[in-house]
Amino acid sequence: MAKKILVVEDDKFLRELISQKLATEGYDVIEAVDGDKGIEKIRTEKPDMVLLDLIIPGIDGFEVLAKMKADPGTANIAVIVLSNLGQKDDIEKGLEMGANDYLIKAHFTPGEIVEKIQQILK
Amino acid sequence: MVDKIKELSGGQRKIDELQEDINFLETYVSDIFSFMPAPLAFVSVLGVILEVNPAFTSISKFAPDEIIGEGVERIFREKEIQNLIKATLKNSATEGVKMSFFPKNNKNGIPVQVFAKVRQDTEKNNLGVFLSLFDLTDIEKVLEDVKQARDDAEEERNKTVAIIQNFVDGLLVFNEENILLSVNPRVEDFFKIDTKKLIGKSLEDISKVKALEKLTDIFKEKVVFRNELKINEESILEMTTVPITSGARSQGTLVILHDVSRESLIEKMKSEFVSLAAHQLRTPLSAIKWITKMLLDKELGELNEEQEEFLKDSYESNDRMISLINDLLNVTKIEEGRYLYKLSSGDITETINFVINNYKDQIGRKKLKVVFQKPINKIPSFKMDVEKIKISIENLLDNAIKYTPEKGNITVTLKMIGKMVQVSIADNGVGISEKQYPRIFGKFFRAPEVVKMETEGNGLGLFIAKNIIEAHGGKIWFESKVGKGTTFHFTIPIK
Repeated sequence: MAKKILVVEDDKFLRELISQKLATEGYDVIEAVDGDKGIEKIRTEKPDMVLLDLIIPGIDGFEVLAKMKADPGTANIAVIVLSNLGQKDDIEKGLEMGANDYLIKAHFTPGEIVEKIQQILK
Repeated sequence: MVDKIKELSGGQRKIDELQEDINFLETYVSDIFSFMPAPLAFVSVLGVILEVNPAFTSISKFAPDEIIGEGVERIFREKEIQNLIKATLKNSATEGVKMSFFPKNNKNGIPVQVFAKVRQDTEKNNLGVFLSLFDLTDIEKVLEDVKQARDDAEEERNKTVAIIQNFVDGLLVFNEENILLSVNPRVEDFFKIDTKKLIGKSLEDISKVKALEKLTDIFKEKVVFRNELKINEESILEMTTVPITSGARSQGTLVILHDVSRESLIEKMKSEFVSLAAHQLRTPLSAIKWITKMLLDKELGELNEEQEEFLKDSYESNDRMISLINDLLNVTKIEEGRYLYKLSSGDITETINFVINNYKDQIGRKKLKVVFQKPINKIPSFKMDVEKIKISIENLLDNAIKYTPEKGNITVTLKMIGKMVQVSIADNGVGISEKQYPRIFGKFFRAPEVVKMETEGNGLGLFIAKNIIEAHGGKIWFESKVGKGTTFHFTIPIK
């Protein structure tokens, strides 16, 4: 069965690009455009992995991460933070809160992002 | 009869002897009177001057014949002298009354102290009054000077106190035993405490006051120059201590507290702004990067050769834009002074190898010969911010590659000098002209020669490298000859 990935990203163009890329790689892709929708879909859809942007409308990515990690039902879902916040403290905060990886969007191509996903979901 | 005559002649002799004695006494008295250094005058009960001594002549400037027979009001204020004579006649003496005395041709008078004594005949009838003067002019002058000096000192002190009290910075003065001598009201404002109770207390006692704990902690350090003292989130002070010396002697310490709350707020806002701007800029750049990459990977269909070339160029331009934003962020962080993030044990040899390896493509394209000379004995790992050291080496190597013509040579040398590692990156490229030397490590500086050669570059590479190396306690410098090449060296102390 195809692995299910939730893309939480408010930028329409980026969301569509990465979703398309993931779909072509054979993943089952679902989307959320803000933090509230994000946490809701994490709870209802139970995806295998969340690609999580940090600066998003509603509750921000860190809060989404905190909420899902605090809920035993969703705590084990893998998370890759995919953000353009590139400060060291943001990166450390994300990893400390339980993200499997932290990628700066501008530094990775969709292909490289897929590679990371594959590594983690292996 | 004979006896009577004898007796008479005896009496006459006695009278003569007595007369002699009296004469002698008179000259004696007159000698003393003339000799007395204190001015003396004898004045009748009605205030007529009857006799003066030479000292009196000297102080009054009146010759005896000018003044004898004159009324005392000639040389004193009428009222003052009449009161004095009256009092003296009543009490038989008056001691040291301060009065004005008017010598010849002196309308202003001089201050004198007057001692007076009544002279009586045997029947206790008042004959007159002796006046003795004591010139107070010099003493008054000295007193005046002393008073003036005291007033000046007082004024100076008031000025200093006023400056301290109204100074915008908080000031604390400690003596050499670290006893608090004074505090100005700004300190009270800063810490919201009553400082009056603290005066006279020792540093140790003051350190027990919760609000001042941080201040006393910093105080214990040897050199305190603009050390940050955070009272709370909103108020941040910069603390500096200055020894107070008088000549070679230490008299204590002055503590200056400068409010930088506003500056740090602006600094924080600036940092947040840059970080947000970078984030905002990166988002569309990411989109361009992703879509171009997908196009280049032919995920969206085949491309002809020309299209592929253009897309490659646009992909690279976009990446440069991304790295420019990274550099700008680095510069902001340098300016905030929180650039060195994490010191961990790092292997310098491995780091250099890694960087050279990263530039393999560019080196190959320009057919450059890059040699890495390292010592036979491996340099042990030491504390450094590996990521940042990598950036500095990258920036130096990047310049060497850019500004060395094709088939040129670049030599990277690593060696140990005492307790330092020294890294040198030598090229045989265009070199740096001497007039650019002072600006070479400046922000946004690009030499006109290199701008012509290579249009890319933001002029931040060496600025960033220098800040990284110096933050590690190292030094960076270079040697260069136009047309011959440039060598950059840097050292890092091993800790």
